[in-house]
Amino acid sequence: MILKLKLIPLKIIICIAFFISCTDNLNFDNINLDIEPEYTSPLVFFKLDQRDFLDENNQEISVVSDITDFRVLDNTVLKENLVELAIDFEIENGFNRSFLVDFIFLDEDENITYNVDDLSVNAGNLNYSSTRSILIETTPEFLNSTKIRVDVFLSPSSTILNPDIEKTFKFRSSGTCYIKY
Amino acid sequence: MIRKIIFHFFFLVAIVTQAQQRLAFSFGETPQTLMLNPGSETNYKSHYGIPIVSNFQFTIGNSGFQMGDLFSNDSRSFNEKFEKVLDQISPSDYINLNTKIDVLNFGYRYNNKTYISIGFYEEFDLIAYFPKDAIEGLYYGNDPFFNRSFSISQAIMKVDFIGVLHAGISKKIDEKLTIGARFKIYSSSLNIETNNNSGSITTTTNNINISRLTLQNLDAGVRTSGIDNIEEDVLSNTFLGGNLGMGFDVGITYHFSPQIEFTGSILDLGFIKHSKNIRNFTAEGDYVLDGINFEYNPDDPIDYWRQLRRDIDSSVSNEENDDAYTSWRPMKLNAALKYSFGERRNKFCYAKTRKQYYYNSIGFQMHTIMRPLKPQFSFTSFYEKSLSQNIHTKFTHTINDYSSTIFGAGASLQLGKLNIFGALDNVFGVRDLSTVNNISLNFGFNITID
Repeated sequence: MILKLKLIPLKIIICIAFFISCTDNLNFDNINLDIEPEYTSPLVFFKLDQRDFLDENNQEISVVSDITDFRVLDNTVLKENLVELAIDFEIENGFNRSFLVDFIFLDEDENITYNVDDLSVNAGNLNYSSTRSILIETTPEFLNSTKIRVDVFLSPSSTILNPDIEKTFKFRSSGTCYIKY
Repeated sequence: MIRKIIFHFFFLVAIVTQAQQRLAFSFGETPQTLMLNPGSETNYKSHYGIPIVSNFQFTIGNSGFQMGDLFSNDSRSFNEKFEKVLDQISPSDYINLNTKIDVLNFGYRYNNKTYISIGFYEEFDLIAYFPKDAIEGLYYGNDPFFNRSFSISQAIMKVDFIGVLHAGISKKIDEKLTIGARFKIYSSSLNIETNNNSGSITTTTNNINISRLTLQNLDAGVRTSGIDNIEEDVLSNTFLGGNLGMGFDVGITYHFSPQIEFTGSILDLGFIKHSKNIRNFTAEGDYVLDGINFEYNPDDPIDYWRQLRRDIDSSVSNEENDDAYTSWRPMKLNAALKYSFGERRNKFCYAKTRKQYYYNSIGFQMHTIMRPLKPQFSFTSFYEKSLSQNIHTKFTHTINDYSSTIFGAGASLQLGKLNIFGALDNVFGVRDLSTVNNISLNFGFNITID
């Protein structure tokens, strides 16, 4: 009887070892986690009126441009894992003139790395929208981008601009980065 | 090299272990019990813990999901399993790792009523709540969650690696009452804590631009000590070389009758003052990002990017400082009520005294540990069975944050002067690891002299 009792701790240890071996229904080999987040951020916006397309002599200016540094891709984590950048554009054209907009990415030396061109907005179109995608696989030079320039072309027309009338051209943009770690 | 090996050993032990005290509390009059209740009764003349293995505890667990949720052997991809787990966890779920390893532990009976014990142990403690918003933000991004506020306040974490030098006294007042206390000197080698953060990040639509990012009411900080030169100093600093603090344990055992016993204790009522090797990080402010507003003014070109960075820097401050701070130890409350019955026997104790004990006991225990977000409660019912004077067993059922079906078993065996204590909690969980979110193993080897 005493011997049997003394064997109890040993039996408990054997039982523990037996229990611990029961891991067949678990699989630790297939633990590859694909992380593919999508980050959205506002980009460039602006509002132009008729005066912005006239010089001091009230002569039409066919194109206006502005430029900014764009240092987002200095982030090496983003740069190394970016798969695609999708850019949403929304434009309200209150002019009775048509426009072409080029949304241009440039490198440090202002060479074009990607040109989202031919955003063609008809006269009076208040609900223009477009989405353009930049695939890194086909345009890896985009990753060298450090600046954004937006050129707005006023299309030729017989309709003359009148600065005394309030008309606006509103431009909005937002980028979504598709990342894969 | 040896230092590195020791460091990695302790680091690994720390990563996979957590203190498990339910089974050891108020059980078997083992030396381990004194560390959980300095007012527990002792019936031996002296004890000597075998270094490193006198009390070793092993538990792994989290309150948010089970092993099988992530690692089940089925046809689903790991991403599918991860997303399901991510969906089911809440910001109040946490992972909790804790271990104590007794480096030295011994005790001596000063007189018939007084027992003194001293020792030194290493403790690693980590609690990290799942910052669900941050994890979802990193995993999915913000694009699928327009108009949702991602909370920064969910970031709550506390990590400690300390050495504890302690001395305790257990005093038998009369046949019914025994009280005790333990004084502790803490030496913190590593502390990282973040709590009471506030703020949110929201992506919305608006009329200015297609999307808007809003950082609102940001007030966040991380306090650290000991993170520099961590590999070189993390172990040596626990031997009174780190940031020092002090604390107390107090405990009581009271017999309402020969068969009804109450035991209770308060552990780690103390603090650590961090003044060395400090690196604290803070961030606060508000900011709304609508993008870059082109002004098309060729006569006065603007450096928009510099302007943006200046605006952000002036609105959201990021600072690092080395200000001293105080960190409170996670206080624990333990209480047990035990009713003994059945066959009654005499037991030889120290100095040829005798003690009567019963072969069977049932009772309830409650354990609480103070944590950054809320206290963790654990309720246990138990049955103790003495198989002989030298073999005692204990069986428990516990309800806590992890599960409501945790069954445990423990045994204390006296082989001559060697006392062996072992306990396994969540016995049925060990049988099927896929359904487990909490397992613990606790054992110790001590020399006791009657």
